[in-house]
Amino acid sequence: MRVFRKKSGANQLSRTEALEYTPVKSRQITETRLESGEVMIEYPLAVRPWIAAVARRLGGRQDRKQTKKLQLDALGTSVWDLVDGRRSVGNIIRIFAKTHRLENREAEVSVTGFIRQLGQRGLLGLG
Amino acid sequence: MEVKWGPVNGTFSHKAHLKRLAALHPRSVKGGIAEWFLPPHWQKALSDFETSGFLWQGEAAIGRGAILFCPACRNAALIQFFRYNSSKQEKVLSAILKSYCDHRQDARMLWSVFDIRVTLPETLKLNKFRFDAGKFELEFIRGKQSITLHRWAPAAVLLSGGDLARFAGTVPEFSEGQPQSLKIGEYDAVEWRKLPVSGWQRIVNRLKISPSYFWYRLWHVAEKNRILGIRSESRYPFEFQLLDQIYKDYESI
Repeated sequence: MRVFRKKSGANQLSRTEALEYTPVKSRQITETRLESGEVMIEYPLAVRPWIAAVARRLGGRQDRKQTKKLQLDALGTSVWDLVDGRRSVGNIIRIFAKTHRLENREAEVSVTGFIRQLGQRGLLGLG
Repeated sequence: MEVKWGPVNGTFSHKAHLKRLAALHPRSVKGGIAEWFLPPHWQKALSDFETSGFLWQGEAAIGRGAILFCPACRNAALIQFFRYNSSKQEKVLSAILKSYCDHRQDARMLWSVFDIRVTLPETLKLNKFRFDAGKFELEFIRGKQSITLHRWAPAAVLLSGGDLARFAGTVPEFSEGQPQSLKIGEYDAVEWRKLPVSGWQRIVNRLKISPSYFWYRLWHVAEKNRILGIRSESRYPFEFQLLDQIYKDYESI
């Protein structure tokens, strides 16, 4: 048995393939529109099992859901509003670049970075 | 057609470059690369350069070209045309060769990166650069003076709920001092400078290692949705004529 196996590149997506995916919002979140027009997202916090076990032993309530809030800035809100479950990442980048008169490459870096960050928090998935 | 160029350190040898060119080609072509005497109209078109010609023939293609060396700027270039064997194309090739130029005549250099473009004196050397989403920076130095070009986008979002002076306050490099609001041509701008006033201050500042002269200008290019900025630091008094010239040439395309 090989202990240190080389990571296979077969599962890695090419840039073109990644841009064809469609971002989808998580069903577990609630979004609120603030007066400034920016979006506030409330999402459940995923607690690690061992932390949950410690909390239970210490008498914490088992049914209590922990949530976290995330307020998007104006640019984040404009990308969030473009996520409708139908538009692909590439399409969102094109609209974002056109709306803000940005270079395509620049828009791609910001939008993909934003989607990646929200994905890591479990707010967006790619379908 | 292919054009390659690069700076030359030390002496330039046409033969050595021809050998290097041969080494880059596949084996089938390697043996076929030979020196070629440039026709008179090529020589005339490339009269500003030291030239040598070459030709090669592979299984699927043939090529002819010239190796150029410019003694003024010490750049070498290789220009070659593939599948070139028609006398009809000679005029076009001559025109292309005649149009080739590897340095400007006015001791200035054009910098064009993404959507920013500026013409700077050749004496300003690029020291560092940074291209983040929404924020570009190019820093040039000349002696003890540094000139940094900035570009932010999208301006409409960055300036929402405030003006350029407020925006300047949010950028660490521009947050020092109270910038003055200006209208330069069609653009809204802010400018700030810090110069040693008295003669005594100037003498003391000459002994310092860090710069004592600071200047910056930011302006809003509304039609491009950009904010452009120039910031300069120096140990010695500024040439404001140079900074004004850079401001005029610096644009977002």
